[in-house]
Amino acid sequence: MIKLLPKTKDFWAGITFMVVAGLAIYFSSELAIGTTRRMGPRYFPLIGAGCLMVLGAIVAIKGLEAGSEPVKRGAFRPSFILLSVLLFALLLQPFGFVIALCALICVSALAGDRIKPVELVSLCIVMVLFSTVVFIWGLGLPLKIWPV
Amino acid sequence: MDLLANLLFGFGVALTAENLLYCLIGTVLGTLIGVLPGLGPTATISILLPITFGLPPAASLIMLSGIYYGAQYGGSTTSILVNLPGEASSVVTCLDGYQMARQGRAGPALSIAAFGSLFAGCVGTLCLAVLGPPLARAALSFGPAEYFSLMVLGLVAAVILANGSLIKALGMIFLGLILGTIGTDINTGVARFSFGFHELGDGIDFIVVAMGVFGLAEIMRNLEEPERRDILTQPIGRLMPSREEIHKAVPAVLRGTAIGSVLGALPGAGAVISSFAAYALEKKLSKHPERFGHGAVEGVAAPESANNACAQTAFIPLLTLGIPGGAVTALMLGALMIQGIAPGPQVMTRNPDVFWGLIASMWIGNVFLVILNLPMIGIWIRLLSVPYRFLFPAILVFCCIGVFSLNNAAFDIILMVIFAAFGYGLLKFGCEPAPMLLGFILGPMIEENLRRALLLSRGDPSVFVTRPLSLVMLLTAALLIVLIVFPLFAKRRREIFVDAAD
Repeated sequence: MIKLLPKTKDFWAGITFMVVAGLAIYFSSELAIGTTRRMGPRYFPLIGAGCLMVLGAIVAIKGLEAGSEPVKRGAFRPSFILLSVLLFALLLQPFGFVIALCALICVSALAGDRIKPVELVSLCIVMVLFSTVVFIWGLGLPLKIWPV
Repeated sequence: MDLLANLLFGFGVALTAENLLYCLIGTVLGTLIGVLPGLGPTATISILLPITFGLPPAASLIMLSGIYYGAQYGGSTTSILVNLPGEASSVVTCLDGYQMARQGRAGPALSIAAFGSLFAGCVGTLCLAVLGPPLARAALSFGPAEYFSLMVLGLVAAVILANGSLIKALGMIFLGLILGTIGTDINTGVARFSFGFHELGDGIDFIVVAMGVFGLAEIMRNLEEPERRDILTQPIGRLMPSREEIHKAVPAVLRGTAIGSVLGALPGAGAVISSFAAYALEKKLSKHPERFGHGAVEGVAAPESANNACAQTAFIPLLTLGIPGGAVTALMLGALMIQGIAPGPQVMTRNPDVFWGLIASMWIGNVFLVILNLPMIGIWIRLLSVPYRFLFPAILVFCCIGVFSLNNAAFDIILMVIFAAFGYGLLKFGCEPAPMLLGFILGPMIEENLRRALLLSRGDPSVFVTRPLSLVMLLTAALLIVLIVFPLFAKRRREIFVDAAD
């Protein structure tokens, strides 16, 4: 099924636009549109979604043309960036700042070039010390440093 | 002389020890991120925005703008020495700058770039000082209809000046407009698209969006490309350009400054296109266009002057009309709002210290930059050897802590991850994120003015064409759209980019 779909940048950009427009139309269905004189909360998003839907369709059709630029296959590793930040968000409250920060740095390092263990440990130490001094003591961010 | 008195007042603000320090910090940081590839002014300013909560308004703007124009300086250094543009706006500088360096003329190339930028920066700032007050006076008479039309014009211009596909840029603007409607509708108090999360009640903070699509997504894009650094091993040599080089560079600097100043004041991806346009113009005017790409001095002088002039005049629409022209000025707008200053023509009268202090600081900052960049060039070159594998985890840490500090909520970090994934996908599909951020920030303002204008006119949409100023702006926007559709112009627009590339 997936194989049948074109792999061009334009096609997928257009589909993305249409999906967002569709979601905006669907999830605003309970809001009032109102009149041009007194616009309801749905009026403006609906206009925007309508325009985006049309533009998305045009872009997607352009993506069907022969010679449209294909999507460059991405490497898998950069997605570790997303994972590491997500981990930081989830670990921060229950386990405190130091553990969350080390998790962030170590997991994100998987996304980049090979890094020596010594380098990784020193990077963690430097960043933890720097952030603790600047952000928690200096700027007074209300963060737990250690798990309680 | 009103102007003179105001400028003196501005220098009084900018020359206090505190503001001088923030100006210095801003320009140093700007040079730093300009030199480091893969970290641009948009990401840096969004990371630092939360820290400016505690600063006085003038100091915060002085520092943030220093980062912006400092990055234009720093970007040229890496273009010339490493053939790696530190900033998008320095891409064309690589063509001739790196060739000059390979011929042993790195010193003259660096100093021409620095002094060209200094001159351009001073002229650009002068434009802001001279044109700002009359524009702001004119803007005071604007009603909601005028503001609506002006913002439409701004968005249309932003689409045209952006590089890449026009129709996708237009789509990204609408995408931004829709994202901007998330949160409580101010007129009715109804929550829109909040999906039951009370955290979304106030809408999404634009810093979260900016860090997701510019910070994280850019890191992911950088990591896909293998690192490539051909650091120049030759010594830089003497800094002074020869008499002949100066003779060739001066007219190029003047033309580059003119192009940059004009394009900067227009909304859109100013600094990037202005450097391309300046390069293309020099090549066209030159009697020996074949010299370009082989170390022509004009090919360094013109684009570097243009991008720096642009970085200063980009503040004209922001400070006089309250309308940002690009992603960076959009962040500045956010910085003003964080400080409780309503952006618009009244900034000049209500917060003269911000307006005139910023202008004076730009002159001071441009001088700082020449001092930072020429005698201290060795330090910046050494920084280039910091591998990206150390750099990006550090950037991630700053992004995470910065976003957390907005509301002291981990929710915002998760939101940032979502925007990063979304922005990364869109980058893969060839959509640049800058128009989306512009639409996101202008969206609520456009909606509010549209609703207010139509409420005042009792639902009669002709209000936008019966008010003369509004009509002129909409006609200009329509004319621009016609020009895009008109194939001849579309070809010219492509030519500017292609010309510079070959």
